[in-house]
Parts: sequence; C-alpha cells; structure tokens
Amino acid sequence: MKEQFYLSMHDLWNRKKNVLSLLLQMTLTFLLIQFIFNAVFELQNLRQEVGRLTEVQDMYFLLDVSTTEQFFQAFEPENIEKVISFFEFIFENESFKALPLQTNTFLPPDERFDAFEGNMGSTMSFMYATSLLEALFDLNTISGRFFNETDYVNHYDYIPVVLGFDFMDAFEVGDIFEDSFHGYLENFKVIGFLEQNSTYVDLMSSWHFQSLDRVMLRPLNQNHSLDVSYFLIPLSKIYVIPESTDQMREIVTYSDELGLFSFMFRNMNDQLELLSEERMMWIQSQLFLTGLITILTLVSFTISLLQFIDKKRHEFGIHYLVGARNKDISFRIAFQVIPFLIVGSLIRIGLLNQMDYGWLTMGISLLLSILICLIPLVRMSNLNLSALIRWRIT
Amino acid sequence: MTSLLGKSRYLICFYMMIAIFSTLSFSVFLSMYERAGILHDGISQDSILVRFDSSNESLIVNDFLNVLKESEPDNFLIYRDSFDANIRSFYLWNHEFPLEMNWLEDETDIETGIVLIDKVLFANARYEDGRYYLWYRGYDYQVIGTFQLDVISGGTPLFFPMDLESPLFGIYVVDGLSIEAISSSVQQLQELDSNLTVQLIPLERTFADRMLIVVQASFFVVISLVLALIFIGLGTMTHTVAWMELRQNEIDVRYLVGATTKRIQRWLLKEYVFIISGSFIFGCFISFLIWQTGLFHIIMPDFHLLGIGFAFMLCLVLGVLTEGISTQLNGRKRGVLRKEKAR
Repeated sequence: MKEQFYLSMHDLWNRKKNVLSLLLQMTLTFLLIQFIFNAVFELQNLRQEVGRLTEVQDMYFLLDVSTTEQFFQAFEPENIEKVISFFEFIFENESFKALPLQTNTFLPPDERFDAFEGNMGSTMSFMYATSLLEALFDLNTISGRFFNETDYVNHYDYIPVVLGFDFMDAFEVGDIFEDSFHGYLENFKVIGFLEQNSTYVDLMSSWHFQSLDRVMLRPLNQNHSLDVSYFLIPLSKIYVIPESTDQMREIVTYSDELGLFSFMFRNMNDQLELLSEERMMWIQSQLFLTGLITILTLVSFTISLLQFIDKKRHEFGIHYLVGARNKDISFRIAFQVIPFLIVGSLIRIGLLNQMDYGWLTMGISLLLSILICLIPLVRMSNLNLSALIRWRIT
Repeated sequence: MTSLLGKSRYLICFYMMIAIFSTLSFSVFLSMYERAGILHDGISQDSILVRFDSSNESLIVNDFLNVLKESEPDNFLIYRDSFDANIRSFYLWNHEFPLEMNWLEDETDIETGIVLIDKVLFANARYEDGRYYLWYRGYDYQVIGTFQLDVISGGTPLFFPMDLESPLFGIYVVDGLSIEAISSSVQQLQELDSNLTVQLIPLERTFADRMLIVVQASFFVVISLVLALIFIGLGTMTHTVAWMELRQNEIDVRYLVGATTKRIQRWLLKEYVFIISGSFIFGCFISFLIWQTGLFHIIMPDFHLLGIGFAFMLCLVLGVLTEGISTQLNGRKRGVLRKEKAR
C-alpha cells in the first residue's frame, strides 16, 4: 500500500498543472457546499427562534414613518417632556412589553478597548438592555451577573454594564472605565460577561443572528439620562409584545397625539415570511451554483482519472504481470483523490475559519471523492490483462 | 466515425457538461438581467421622470394632468414623490393600478381620503361600519385595497390619491406616455408660466446600470461563475491535449504523407466542431430537462433561447481556441513547425 501511495503521488506530480486546476476546483466546491449548509441551517434556526419568540404572543415592530421635520422637532427643548412621556408609555407600560434593539456606538478613551476595533475604527457598540431582552434571547453570564431589578431603576455613580464574551481578554468583573457622552462624563463598572456566542434577532435589520460577543449592554434606566438623545436612541427601534393588536393602534395614536413621531406596525411573522422568501432566492442561487460546480468537478476529475488509466494501461499490465492485484492498482487510483480531499478541506476550514456544519460538508466531500473514484475503479476492474498489455498508448 | 466517437468519448462528456453549465448559467444570468430592469412600484421601463423645479405657483397639478390627457395614447399613470419615502401619491387615467392587488374594493371613487396599503401593513387598519380605516399622521383614511410588493426590489408601502389642487412643483413619474408627448405637454405649461423649469429624465436602466445591479446583488454568484469559467477553460485545454495525444498516430501519418500543420489544424477543427455541436445538443437537452423540473424556478423562471445562443458561442470559442493552441503546441513539440519554417 505504501508503494501504491508513493506511485500515486508521483502520478500527481507528473500532472501538476492539471492537478492545481483540479485542486482549486475542488476547494471552490467545498466552500460552496459549506456556504449552502450555513445558509440553510441559519434560516432554519432563525425560523425556529422567531417561532419560539412569537409562540405565545405576536411580536410587532414599530415602523417609524416620521418626517425629517418631526425628527428635528423631537430635539427641541420644549418637547423633552413629550419625549419622556412617550418613553415611559412604551417602556414602563404594564399592559404590554417593549424591547429597544437599537445598537449604538461610543468611543471610550480607554486603551483596553483598542484591541476590539469595530466597523468604524475603534468605536464600540452598545445596546440598552431590559429584563425582556434577557428573557427573550436567553442571555446568560459566564462570569459575574446580569442586571437585576434595581439596576433598571436606581441611580449609581458607576453605571453597571455587562460586556460581551470577547471583552473577557481585557477586562475583569469590577473594572471601571469612563466615556464622554455629548460632553458629559459617564462612568461604567463591569458587573458581568455574557456567554460566548450570545445572540439576538433583529429581523427588521437583517436575517442573520446578531452577535453580542463584542457588544456592551447597559441597563435602560432613565435615571442615568444625560440629555434627550438618551430617550431617543431606544425609541428609534422598538419591538412590542402586546396583549392584542388594539394596543399597537393605541401606541400609534398616542404618539400622534403627542405630535412627536408617526409610527406604523408590522407583525414579525409577516416579516419572517418576506425574509424567508428573499433568503430562499439566495439559497436557490447558491444551490444552483454549487450543483453545477459539483458536477463540473465530478466530471473533470472522473475524466482526468479515466485518461490517466488509458495512458497507463501498459504500465498497469506490467504491474499485473509481476504480481500486482486489482486491489493494489485500485489503491493507486483512489490515493490520487485523497490529497484533494485533505488539502481542499483544510483550505475551506482555513478560509471560512469556522467548523459549523463542517462535519456535513466533510461528509459530502467524502461522498464526492468516492463518486469520483467509482467509474475509474469499475473501468479498471473490467479491463483484462490481455487488453492492458496489447495496447501501448503514447 | 465510430473510431472518432470512441476516441472522443471523454471530450464529448466534458463538452456536454460545459453545455449544461453554460446554458443554465446564461439563462439564470439573463433572468437576473431582466429582473434588474424592473422599476419600483410596478412602473414600466419606458417611464419618464418629470421634475418641475420652479414656478410662480399659479400652476397646479390639475393643469399638468389636463395637458397630458390631450396626448396620445389616451392612458397613463402618474406617481408624485414626496419627501416621505413611505408614501407616493398616484393618478390613473384609463389605467389600472400597476401593482398586484390582494383585494380592491369595487365601485370606490379614487378621491382624497382613501389609501392603498402594502399587505404586511394591513394590520394597522381598523374595521368600522363595514369599512377599513387607517390612522396615519393624525388623519383617518379609508383603505380601499392592499397590494403585494416585490420581495426583492421592494417599493413604497402607502399610496394616496394625488392632490389635484396642490402647487405643481415637485417630482413626478409618468408611465404610458412617450418623452415627446410629455415634452409637448410641458411646453404648453411653459407658455402659461415662463418661469417654469422642467427636467425630463427617462428612467429606463441602461445596460451598464443593469449589469451593475446584477453584480452588486449577486456578487458572490458572479465571482463563482467567473472562477468556474476559468476552470472550464483550463479543463478544456487539458482534455483537448489528451484528445490530440490519442490521435497522435493519425496526425503523424498525415504529416508523413505531406500534410502541413495548417491542413492538420483544419481537419482536426472540422472534427472538433462536430464533437462540440453534437455534445452541445445533448447537453442543451439535459439542461432543458433540469429547467423543466422546476427546481430553480425562482432564479430561472424562463429558459432563454438567447442563453442557449451565448452558451453555444462560448463552447465554440473555447473549442476553437483550445484546438488551435493544442495543434500549435503539438506541432512545436514534434518539431514540425520548425521544419515547415525552414522549408
């Protein structure tokens, strides 16, 4: 078997240009297969997650249809009372539950954050947390604790914050840091770290699960408000779980009465259906492309091996004459596919830097490799000795 | 013939696969290209954007509509844009509302106070006295229908009837009339108001615009297709060289009896084109069967004849190029070209 392996490597070396092209083809196929699995399973998980969220009660998104004039009006000093009134109506209402899901950025002048650059340089993301966020998305801490009831109500000298898992490398529970917000100084104290891969779903922004690994959570507590923007940020993206649809209309009407914002609402199940349809189009194009490229790879490899057999018939004949068995020659052919499987898979893992559903991709890759060998091996076993040594091609 | 087919069996398989790949890919690409030409809110590609920049405000929307009604053909649709991206106002003249309606109330006059809304926002409406009403920015509007927006291209969720008495300046989209007809109508308005400045812009997306949309929307797919085409090119080269090696004895005999490289090339090319054409017909038939299964109906609603044409051209160009290069390489390898030059 060792000799056969050596010979097969030698065969590959003799066809290096062809081998390189086939290797790239194989790698592309593996990457596409991985993409397909990722897309299909992420969609399936998202559907399950939204199904879980809306299992008991419908969830709605408040769609802001305010004009630019209305937007600027909200910043007028005489309207601050109205803004607070609407904020309290939404987030302190006992007849329905509301969740702010707006992610915002801040620029903490603390070098410990330098290693966690966001999309916009060293700006970091933060979100306002409520007890509903914790309950809905099943957020747990790996160290320290999550916010308790008093964190949402009391005023502290240091605002308690929960950091995403990645920040554990640079911070510890109890660490303190500060940030300047619109000219005001804010002090934060780390009270816990989220578990790795903590996520939430924001269907109005994206069909992806949003990671919280590099996000800071601060409690939604109006006692820590510094100016009107503290109230406006959470109001810019609100999900509501009402008792009935009438409560959604009440929110829209109340906002109109205040003359601040105009809202409409959208059911998350409808949104999920729309996103699924859009996503299906993407998945179908991926599937189409993957299918074609897989067939291309399969045919190219099979033909390449068949051509190799044709070219080496005479040599195989001599091998048989000096005692080689069918198994030995079959190994020589099968061994030629193994390096493609290994190198292609390693490149896929290296490039995508993830192993999610990797075992499935590996399974498909293995199946593809077996299929590639199938026809050449059948052909080899059908050739008799006289047919092999009778012809000499080249 | 049997010998040719026997020696070319791998090449035939390979070209059949290229035919399937390229026919389906070009069909998908053409479907994407067609989709990229679709404009928001159901308007056709012949629509014209009309922008009235300044006016002394003596002219109103109705003046514009009246001059348009005198144009031919006698039907059109106008949207008026507002600063609010969520709403558009509309006016229909012997024209149906262009979006796919989920329901539409019969015998309701299109006048101020009504609204057409996106199906997903219908929950906002309340039912009262046998009618649906939508509370929007402090006013109640009667909902007379809901429509379905395109999932991919999206569009405006709310449509109100156009306020005919409002000042004319603003941005309009006219569908159903030619740019010449609109231009002549606008000239009539300019005779009434010499300060009126107008811009007419055809909304039809150019080839470059549509290609850009296709590439932006499916960047990953396009890149993968390009890579696949490169692999196909490399694969064709390898298989053609192998095909020529199989026929080396025939080639050598022809050289021996005095054939030149050019004549050999022409003879091989004739057979090669025959192989390509035969394989392509089979491959094309298989791709048609794949399309018939409806597996990819979202991305490939139609089987484009133009796609088949492009695919055949691709196979032919690829075939002629690889065959030409392979013969040249073969001639050089065997020293035939050098001898011919020396002669």
